[in-house]
Order: sequence, then structure tokens, then C-alpha cells
Amino acid sequence: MIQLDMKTKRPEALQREVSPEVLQVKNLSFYYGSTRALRNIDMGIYKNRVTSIIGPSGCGKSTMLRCFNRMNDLIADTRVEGSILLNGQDIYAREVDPVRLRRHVGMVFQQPNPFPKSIFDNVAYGPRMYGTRDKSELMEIVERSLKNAALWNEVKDRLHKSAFSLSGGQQQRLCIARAIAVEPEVLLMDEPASALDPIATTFIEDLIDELKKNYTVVIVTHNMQQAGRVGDYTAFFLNGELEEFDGTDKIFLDPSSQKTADYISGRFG
Amino acid sequence: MPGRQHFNKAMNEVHQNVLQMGVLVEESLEKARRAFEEKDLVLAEKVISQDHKIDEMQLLLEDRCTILIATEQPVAADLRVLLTAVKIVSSMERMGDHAVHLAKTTRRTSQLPNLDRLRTLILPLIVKGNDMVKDMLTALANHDAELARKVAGRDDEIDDLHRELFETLINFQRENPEYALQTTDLLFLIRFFERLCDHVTHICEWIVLRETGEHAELS
Repeated sequence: MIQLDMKTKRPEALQREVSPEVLQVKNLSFYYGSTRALRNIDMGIYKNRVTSIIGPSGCGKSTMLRCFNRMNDLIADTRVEGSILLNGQDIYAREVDPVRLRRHVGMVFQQPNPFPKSIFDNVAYGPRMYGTRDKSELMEIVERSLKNAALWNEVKDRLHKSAFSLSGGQQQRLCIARAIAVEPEVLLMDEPASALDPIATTFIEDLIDELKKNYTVVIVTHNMQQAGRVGDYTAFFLNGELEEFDGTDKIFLDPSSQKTADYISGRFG
Repeated sequence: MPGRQHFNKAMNEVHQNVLQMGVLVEESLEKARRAFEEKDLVLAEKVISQDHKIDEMQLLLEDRCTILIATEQPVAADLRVLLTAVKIVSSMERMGDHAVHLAKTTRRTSQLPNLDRLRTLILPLIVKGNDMVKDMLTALANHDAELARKVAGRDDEIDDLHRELFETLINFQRENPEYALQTTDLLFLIRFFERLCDHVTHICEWIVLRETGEHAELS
């Protein structure tokens, strides 16, 4: 008999999950000044799975995503309570260097943001920063990353052209290649397709499905349908709380919370 | 790079699974036909005990289609494939039940030699019904709306045969009241096979809708 933990609404589907939790969020609260943006969040992020975070504007979903690689540290007057464990280690522990953390937990943003450099240099940027100097080794990394980002065939003949010569969808795949060049364990994506047209969006969604073979993906999306299409798990945030977290099939067919049902069926938010 | 590879794979699996279910139903009907013709009670029992596989497949496919509709927002041909799959597997499940009924009728009537003549007269209805099922599956597998229309067109022949058999059975019943129970059983059997062919016709209509987007009234 499956026991449900009603306090955290810990889902039935996760009881069947065999993959380990790469990230564990434990009683996490987050403050912007005196405003509490996240309240007592408990959730796990499973290895080689795609977890979608959905919810209305201001619900805390992007804040949650940025907590996973301490991007919120860059914002003044913010504070974290509780903890996030990456493979069992608290990422907010005093000795943890956020820059090193971000090597393990990479990020892709809403707007494609390539550096004003060549395609090659964009992808080689991270590995160079972490000390790789050997040219053939860099070339190998660039080729592998571009292939994994499903961009290689389109750019292999113009690696030294400016990244800005690429289309929006290609730029976003370049940013994904740049993020995976340092071989992170987890890839965070903040609305990675919202600035793209439907065809480029399809490319990114197919890519996410491929990426999960090697990486663990957490994606924030405003687009519920996208969460349905790409996510193995879906977390619904509301007013800074984790209202419901479960298998995507369960969330979209038979959510436990009426608020989740109302949101995904477009009745509010 | 064709888009939505994951979804395309899932859609292809649905199509394959619907066909697999169709093959299970066809095999069940064919075994039931053989058991009826050859008075093979062991085979009849097999048909009865295996029907749960068909029922399980229906539930599995209905769930799969529902999840794909809820999470993948299918439109146009994709939506038609999923909606018709739900309809088709529902009809197939009923067809499986008719195979079970045929097996049970075999169990109840095969040991009575006085009914052999009636059973021989009924056999062509079963054979024709099973042939319609086979051809319907070919249309389903090959996305062939034209063949589906042709298969459904054979339903009238089944209806005529059913009417003739009905009269024969009623007459026999009148003349042999001691076999009232068994003749009633056979009356149900021919009625169920006439219904089986109605299910085949419905599936043919769904095939036409799936392939062309047009509602066809084939019955």
C-alpha cells in the first residue's frame, strides 16, 4: 500500500521512481528583503528525468530554479532558509564556491544570450575558464557539445563566424551547447523556448528529450502544454508554495489539488 | 530533422498496439470458429480463458490515448488517430466478447447430434464474419479508407444471411420444442454475429474518418 505524505503532497508516482534524487530541496524558504518568495519547499529532482516547474507569474518558479545554482546570490538583500542538497551535499554550505557549483548545475535563459564571439569561442568559453587549453581537446568538446545540442550539422562549416549570425532558435541551441560543454549534471532552463517560433520550439523540446539521457533537466515554463510535452514530472507552484508535485501524466489527468486542476485547465492564472 | 520525435514514436506505438489488439481478436474469433466447427471443447475453453488479454489491452490503450491527448495537445490527423483509436478498441473488445460467446455456445451445443444440421447452416455466417474482420484489419494496417468502405459494404450480405438463419431456427424450434433452450442459444449466436459485423462496419467508419477526416455512414 502506497502511503501519501499529505503535508508535502508527496506524490504516488514518485514512489515508483527508481532513479536517485540528484537534488533534494529541504524545507526551503527564500526572501527578497522581507518578502518571502518561497515557503517551506520540499521536493526532489530525479536523475536523467525532466522536471517542469509551472505556475502563474510571481508564484516563485523562477526563484526556485535560480536557487538550484545560487543565481539568486547575485541579487542584493536576499536570504535563504533550509537547504538544497546536490548529491547529498548542501549547496548553501559556507565552503561551497557558487562558481564551481554552476559548473555542475548549468543554466539556459529565456532569451538566447550568446557572447559577442564566434560560435566556437562561445562553446569553448566554459572549458577554457575551467583550464582546458589544448586545442584539439577544445575542438573535441565543441564538436561533442554542438552535436548533443543538435546544432553541429548546421554550423560545422562556419564555427568561426559570429554567434549573432545564427537564428534565434540556433542561438538558443548554441547556449545549450555552451551550457553542456562543461558537462554539468543538471541543466536548468528558464523558459528556454518562449522567445522562439513554434518550429524552433519543437527543436528545443525534442532536444530536451535527448538531453535527459545524459543530464538531469529542470525547466521553468509558462506554457503548460510544454510542461505536458517535455516533463516526466511537473511541480505546480502557487504563491510561493509547492501546491502539487507529481508525474506529469498524473498532474494532467487527475491532479490531487483543485487549484492545480483549475490552473492547468486555464480556469485561473 | 522531423519535429516531435518523442510524440511521433508514441503515436506509432498506439497504431501498432491497436493492430496487435485487432490480431488478438481475430485469433480469438478464428479459434472459436474452429472449436465450433470441429466440436473442440478444449479450444473453446482456451478462447474463454484468454479473453482477459483483450480486455486489458483495451484499458491500456484507452489510458495511453488519454495521456497523449492530455499532455501532447494533438491536432488534425494526430487527434483523429487518437480519438478513433479509443473508438476502435472499444468495438474490438466487444468483438472479443462475441468470440467468447461462440465458444460458450460450442460448449452447450456441440454434444447434441440433432443440432448438427443447424450448426452446419450457421457456419458460413461465422466464416463470413471472420473474413470481414480480417479484411478490416488489413484496411486498418494499411491506412486504406477505400478497402474499409468495401469491407463495410459486405454487411448487407450478413444481414440477409442472418434473416434466413433466423427463420430456419424459429421453424426448427417450433417443430422440436424439446430443443427450445439450445435453439434459443443458437438464435443469440446468429444475432451476436450479426452484431459482430456491425462492429466491423463501425471500425471501418472510424478508419475512413481517421484517413480522410470525413464521417462516413457505412451501415
